Amino acid sequence: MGPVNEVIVLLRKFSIGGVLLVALVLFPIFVFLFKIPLLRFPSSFYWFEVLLSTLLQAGLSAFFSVLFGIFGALGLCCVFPKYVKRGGVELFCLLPALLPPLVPVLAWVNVSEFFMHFPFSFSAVLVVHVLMNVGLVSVFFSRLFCTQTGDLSSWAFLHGVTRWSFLRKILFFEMRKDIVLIFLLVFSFCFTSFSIPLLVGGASGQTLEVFIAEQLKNPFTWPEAMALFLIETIFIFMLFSLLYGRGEKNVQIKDKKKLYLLPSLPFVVLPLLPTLLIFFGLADVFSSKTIWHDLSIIKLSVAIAGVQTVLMSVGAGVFVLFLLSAVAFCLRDLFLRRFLVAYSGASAAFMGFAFLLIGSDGPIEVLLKWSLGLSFLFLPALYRLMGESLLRRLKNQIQLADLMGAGKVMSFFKITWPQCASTFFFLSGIAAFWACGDFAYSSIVGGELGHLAMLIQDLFASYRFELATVLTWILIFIGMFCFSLFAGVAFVLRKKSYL
Amino acid sequence: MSYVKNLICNQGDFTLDIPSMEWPDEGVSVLTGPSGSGKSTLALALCGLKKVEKGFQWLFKDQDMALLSPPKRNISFLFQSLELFPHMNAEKNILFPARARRISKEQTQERLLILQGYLQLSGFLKKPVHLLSGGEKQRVALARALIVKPRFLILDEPFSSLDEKLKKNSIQLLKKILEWEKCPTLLISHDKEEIESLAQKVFYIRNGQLQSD
Repeated sequence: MGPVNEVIVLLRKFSIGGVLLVALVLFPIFVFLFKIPLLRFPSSFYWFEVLLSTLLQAGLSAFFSVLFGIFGALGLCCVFPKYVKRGGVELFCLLPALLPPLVPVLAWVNVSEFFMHFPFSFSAVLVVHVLMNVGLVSVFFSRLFCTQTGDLSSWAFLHGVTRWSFLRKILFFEMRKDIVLIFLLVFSFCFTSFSIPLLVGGASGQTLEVFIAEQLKNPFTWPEAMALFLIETIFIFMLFSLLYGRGEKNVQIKDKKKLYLLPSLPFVVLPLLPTLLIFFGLADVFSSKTIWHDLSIIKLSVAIAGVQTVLMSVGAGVFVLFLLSAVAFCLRDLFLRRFLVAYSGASAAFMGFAFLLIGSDGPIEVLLKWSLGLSFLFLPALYRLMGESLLRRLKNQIQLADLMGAGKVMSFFKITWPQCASTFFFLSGIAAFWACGDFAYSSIVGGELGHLAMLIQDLFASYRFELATVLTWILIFIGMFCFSLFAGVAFVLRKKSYL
Repeated sequence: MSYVKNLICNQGDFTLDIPSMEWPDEGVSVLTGPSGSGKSTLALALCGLKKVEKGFQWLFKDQDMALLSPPKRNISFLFQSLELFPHMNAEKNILFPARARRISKEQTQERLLILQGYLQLSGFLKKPVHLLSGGEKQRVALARALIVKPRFLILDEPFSSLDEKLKKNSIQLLKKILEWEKCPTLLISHDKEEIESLAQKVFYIRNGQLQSD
């Protein structure tokens, strides 16, 4: 009876709402489980080659991102104390990671076309992943250097330690855990990346996600797809379980310390370059004279696609807001929150096919499927981004409110929601912005509808980069509009509260 | 007298093990000991915020508190960090427990007036908590802890963040209000001055075990 009792105790610990919420997030797996009698590995070993290639791609992408990111951070450390405000530069560096992948990829392809035809291959996936992540890694390490190494660098400087010795023997050694942590984070992102290999991977750049999507196209190979998806999910789940709570350092910068031995100005080009290339790649298109004529031909489709993009994005934002609130209300249980942090999100392909299999494909249903599916896809990443740390900060307050006799509902509406609402609206704005640029998931569910990102991807696939770039500008404006709807509410809420 | 029996709380490599403990039903009892000795764990376990092993009993005024859920124990806890709700003003902070326990408005207002007098709160009741000084925050947290007339009060190093002068004033204020309220209190502290001024009984804890009464 021992183990049975333990299971009963464990089940009692979960709130019903929490279990339901997790079931909701995992529902694509359930949809396929009902449709698939058993799991099966593909008969040929091609899947294993794809797995190895994905591991190699993710490993190299993460390695180069971390390597360039650390040196980029040394450059950023040099810029910050003297010349400019930190927030603006950091946002500039983070743009490639924050923009929907379609936007930076198109810009970088445009830039590369000046010199050569863009190589749609394994190496292209690698380069795009590094360009997307190097700014993010640089910002992370620059904050870490500024907060953790101030006194250490002064001490080493006073003792005559050379810069290279300081970096090699002290700094990298001290930061080895953080280096491994950020490596694994970037690795997991590159391992599960779907839209980038789909855009630039070609035949040699196929990843496990793309392979799963291909298996899902044929109902006879669904058991294979399910088996591969479970392998991928369990692998990422284990990775994040290991990482849970280990990288929680305070990287809020309060005072400007002089950093001896660290700054190296030339390296600042590393985190800034990808964003500069995005602006350069997107700006060049306006020099073309035929572009406006081409645009006028498809203006009606663009207008319809634009309206559908707004509806889908706002819908995704609203659903994310609801899901984040549900998480805050239901998941007071550490185990379930840990699950959400560790869960990388269903693959876009899997989510797409799951939604394709349920309900009808009328325009309203498809719009709802787009919004709901994207909110499911974005939820784990957004929760990891800010949600988890926010809820952790409120732990003591909620415990105290419980002790004071406040019920779950009162705790949520009087303690949790007033302190989280602003952040939740902001995160919903990010979700709305990301949703604008999705084409991988929505093209699977699409039916007869099509939004702007799908139109851009069609143009991209047929090498009409100029027209695709003009539409990307429209996409960015729509994305900013949808983001500002939510961010505006977040701003008002923050102003109104004492926080 | 209040009796605690078989309080065992396992936390990985640390175990709090209190076979028995007793303290008077009124006045201030102090729990002292070095950092990491289990003082706060003991306090949290008494509140029901830490999981304890089966067999725990806490007989308090003819009732076994261990059988009650944490809210029903009606214990007020003052965290070291005070944990004031940052999105509320001082008054809303103080009134929160009364609203949570659905105490009538008239009763709450009456109680607030009394506490306002004792703790000199009137100057800053409408201020948001982030604008309050350390001493003011302390008084708001104390008022919040006392507004519902708790059965038992636990104070976890409440003066640790105050300077010497403010600490002296706060100790006097606490002494005055606890004498008037007659609320049995467990104070966690390792400050000699606090112990000498407030304690009626002192417990010393080390490595999760009580050393002597």
